[in-house]
Amino acid sequence: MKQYFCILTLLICVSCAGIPTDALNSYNKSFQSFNQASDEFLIQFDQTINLIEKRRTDELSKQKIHFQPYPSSIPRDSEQNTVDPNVAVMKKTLKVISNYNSTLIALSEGKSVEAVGNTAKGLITALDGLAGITLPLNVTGLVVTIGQELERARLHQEFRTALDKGSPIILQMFKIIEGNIDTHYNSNVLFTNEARTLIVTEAIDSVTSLQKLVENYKELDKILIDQNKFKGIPKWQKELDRILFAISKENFIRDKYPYLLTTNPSGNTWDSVVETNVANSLNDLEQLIKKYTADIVRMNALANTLSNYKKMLGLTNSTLITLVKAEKAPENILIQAQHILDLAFKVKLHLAEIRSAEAASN
Amino acid sequence: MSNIQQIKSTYDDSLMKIQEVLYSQEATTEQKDIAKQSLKDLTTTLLLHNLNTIEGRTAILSSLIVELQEVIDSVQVENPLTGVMEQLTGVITKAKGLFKDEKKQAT
Repeated sequence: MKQYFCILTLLICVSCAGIPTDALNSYNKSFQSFNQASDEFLIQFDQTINLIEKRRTDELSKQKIHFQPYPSSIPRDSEQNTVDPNVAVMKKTLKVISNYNSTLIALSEGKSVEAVGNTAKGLITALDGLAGITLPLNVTGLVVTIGQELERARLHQEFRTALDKGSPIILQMFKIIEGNIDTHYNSNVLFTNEARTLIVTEAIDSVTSLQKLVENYKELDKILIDQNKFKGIPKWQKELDRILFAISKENFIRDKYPYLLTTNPSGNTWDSVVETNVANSLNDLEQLIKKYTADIVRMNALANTLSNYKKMLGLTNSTLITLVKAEKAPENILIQAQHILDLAFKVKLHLAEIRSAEAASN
Repeated sequence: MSNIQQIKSTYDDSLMKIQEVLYSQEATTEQKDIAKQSLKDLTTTLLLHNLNTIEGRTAILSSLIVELQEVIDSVQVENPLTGVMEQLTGVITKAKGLFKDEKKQAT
């Protein structure tokens, strides 16, 4: 009886709350999804940084501060598809987090517990009968249980230490990645604002030229319009309004839209040349506005994609915090009590095995 | 107002002033050329600021990678004694074999 309680006391001391595997799996799955989605983001991020660096190079070459007949920094080899160093570090960050998570998973799987049991069995078998050593009969079961319980405790301690040290680092990394997502989007906003402004500028300049062209001519003869020889100003106006509608909400445009085409009663007679010029002008304008619209569509798609990507990061962040809290929280008392009961039963069984083996040999 | 908000506010105001000139049908070609250059300068300044920010973050990430790798390296997934115990088992088994042989020879 004394033996039983001594052994049980030892095991209860080393036995402890289990590794929170549910929270760990939830965090790991969440990170894996985020990691997969990161491939696409990193490609775009690389492109954005490349564009900014090109802008920096262009600016430096224009400044003409000093003569330097060689590049300021090592040029990227576009043929070898080298990745920007900032992107390379982001990739490495995700890789090391992945490795860290694999380590936590390995600790929680506890494969070493079985290995310890097998090794202990092997050692006891080897010791039995060596140089006069006679081990208490059937002691293997008890030794294996104690060994495995000690190994479980060791694994849990390793897990706890790894999580305590690693989680704050990873949370910092997530914050930095989030910052880069925002900066990536902001940079694209800057590029697109510039492009969009220049497109609208060109469009308005084109409209101004068109208005000045039409002002040189007098109103078209209705008969010619009815004969479908020429479209007529109302139809051209309608077309112009339709094309410019996409930019009609821009600052300083919305107060002026629609841009009216007006003829001059003492102007020239409308002819096929001016008709063709007007048609071509509107066609060019339409192509320009298509670029504008495409940029808007692209930016909205980017905003949606990055919003979802950030949500995935946020979720991964939350699951890691949940894991840390789960690890620190005291285990459900019922689960702990059940574990102690299981241990008590095992120990009792092993001691009974030993006693019956001793009795049989006597 | 935070620094980021101030930068954004300044940028938005500047962009509007530039667009006021560029979208005008009365501004001269010269005025528009100056406004276009201002637009490029404004965009470039902020883009370079973004790049500096990214590079700063990269430096921090690099040191965090080293720290996390140290944590990974310090973890012992396998029991450090298992290998030793296995070697010991091997030695003891060998020793048992040798003692048996010796006993046979002695008898």
